[in-house]
Amino acid sequence: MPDTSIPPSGTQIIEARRVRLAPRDGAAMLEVDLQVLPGQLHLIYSDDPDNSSAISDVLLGLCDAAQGEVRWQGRTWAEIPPRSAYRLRGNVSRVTSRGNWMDTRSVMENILLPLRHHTVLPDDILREMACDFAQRFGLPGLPMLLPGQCPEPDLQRAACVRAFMGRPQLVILEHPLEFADAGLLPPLVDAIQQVRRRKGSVIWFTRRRAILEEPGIHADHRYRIAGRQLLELEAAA
Amino acid sequence: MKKLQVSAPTVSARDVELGLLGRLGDRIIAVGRGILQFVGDLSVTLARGLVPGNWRRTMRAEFIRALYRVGFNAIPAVAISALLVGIGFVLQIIYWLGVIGQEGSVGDFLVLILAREMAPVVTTLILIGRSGTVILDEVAHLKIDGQIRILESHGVDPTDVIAVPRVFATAVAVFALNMLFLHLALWSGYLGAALTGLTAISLLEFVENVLHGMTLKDHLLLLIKPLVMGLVIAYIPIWLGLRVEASALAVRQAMPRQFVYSLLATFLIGTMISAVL
Repeated sequence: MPDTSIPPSGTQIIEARRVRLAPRDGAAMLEVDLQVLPGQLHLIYSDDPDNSSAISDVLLGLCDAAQGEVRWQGRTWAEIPPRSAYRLRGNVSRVTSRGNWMDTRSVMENILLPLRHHTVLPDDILREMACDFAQRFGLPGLPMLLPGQCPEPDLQRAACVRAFMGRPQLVILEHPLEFADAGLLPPLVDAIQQVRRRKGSVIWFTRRRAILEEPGIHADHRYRIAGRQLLELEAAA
Repeated sequence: MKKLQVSAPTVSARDVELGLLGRLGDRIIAVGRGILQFVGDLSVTLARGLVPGNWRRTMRAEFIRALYRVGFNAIPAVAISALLVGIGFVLQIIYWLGVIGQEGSVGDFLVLILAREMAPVVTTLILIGRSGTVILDEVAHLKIDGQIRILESHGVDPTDVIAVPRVFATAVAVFALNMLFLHLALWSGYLGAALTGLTAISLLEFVENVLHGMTLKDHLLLLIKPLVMGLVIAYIPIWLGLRVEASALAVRQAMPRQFVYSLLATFLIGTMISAVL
């Protein structure tokens, strides 16, 4: 049976044309021009996590752009009813630079929450799936502790587990290696490749120049924020 | 040495133009708009929760968790209050009506004062004190720490997993605790009076008196009043928490507001429902 969650080839998953946004109240406007096709990886060098969060928020329709519009599979967020917008965002996974965890729930509950909410897959299958991802990302198992009791590198790995579970159409990674050791990079790149193979897309924000220049990471587009503009560095061959 | 700079309070041109009456009008319009917005948001939450098909497993789990925290954990506080009210108030009514030879009116008095007014209000006040601030603090921190944003990013509507379960769990909790309060107050009052020899009426007579004092409207009121009070006192801290600006100070400032709004809402709802039923 065809996977209906994947848009037809050539249809943009997300498109932002000349979108202007303010990362913080009173901050200078940032201009973003981005088109993400199925299966693509967009790597963005951003040394300010606030910029990364603001861009992600606007791309996901969580806040309005000061100018321009963002289209999700051809439709602007403004023309999608709120309930449908939430349903569509159920196909998105995100690792944020802060606020990843509800601190009164265990890390495991946090990881399982989106899929428990959007799917009817039995809990034991979801736990099994999460355990499998946790091991792939170098965790001994699913962390049962509260987020405040977990070391930061483990939380970063757990955030990646949550982001890649299920079959997300779009994965947004905001500085996923910020607190993690180098050991997280290979499983992360591997997981990204798997998403791309089934025509999911990834937007990866990083402030490590080495990641941006890493030839082993086959990004379709690489950008950096130059001045107040998202500037494409090179087109993929 | 640096001089301490003190700035004079600023008066905007708009303030000068408007004058006292204009500012008062502005304030009234803002309050009215806030109330309308609150009622609208609460209606959306209720409408969402009243459709059984909307209750996903994450919402059911959150409902059970909230019911345990708001309802089950409040049992000791409600039980002790009920026992004190029973001994201090019910016993007094039984005694004094006996003194003036009106023991047959015990039921009417207890239904009128205890069942219709005191039990729902006292139970609700206990939950406002115990849970209102906790809910506000929890929701406000979810907002400030960006946890609401991550839920939204994953397509999880905060109304579904934050508001609906807490609101409905609190309503059920207020209803159940109101029943507990009522029973404990009645039985402890009667037992106190009987054991100390302050009343000559038997247990059966007492029960009969109380049941005869209850009309259909009283039964309806026992169901409706606590449920409505529970829905509103749970939604006030959620609503305020979701509107808190990004600072811990804002949370502290919202706490007394939440308490006062909840208190006013409780008395307003109590009076309105009592007037109708």
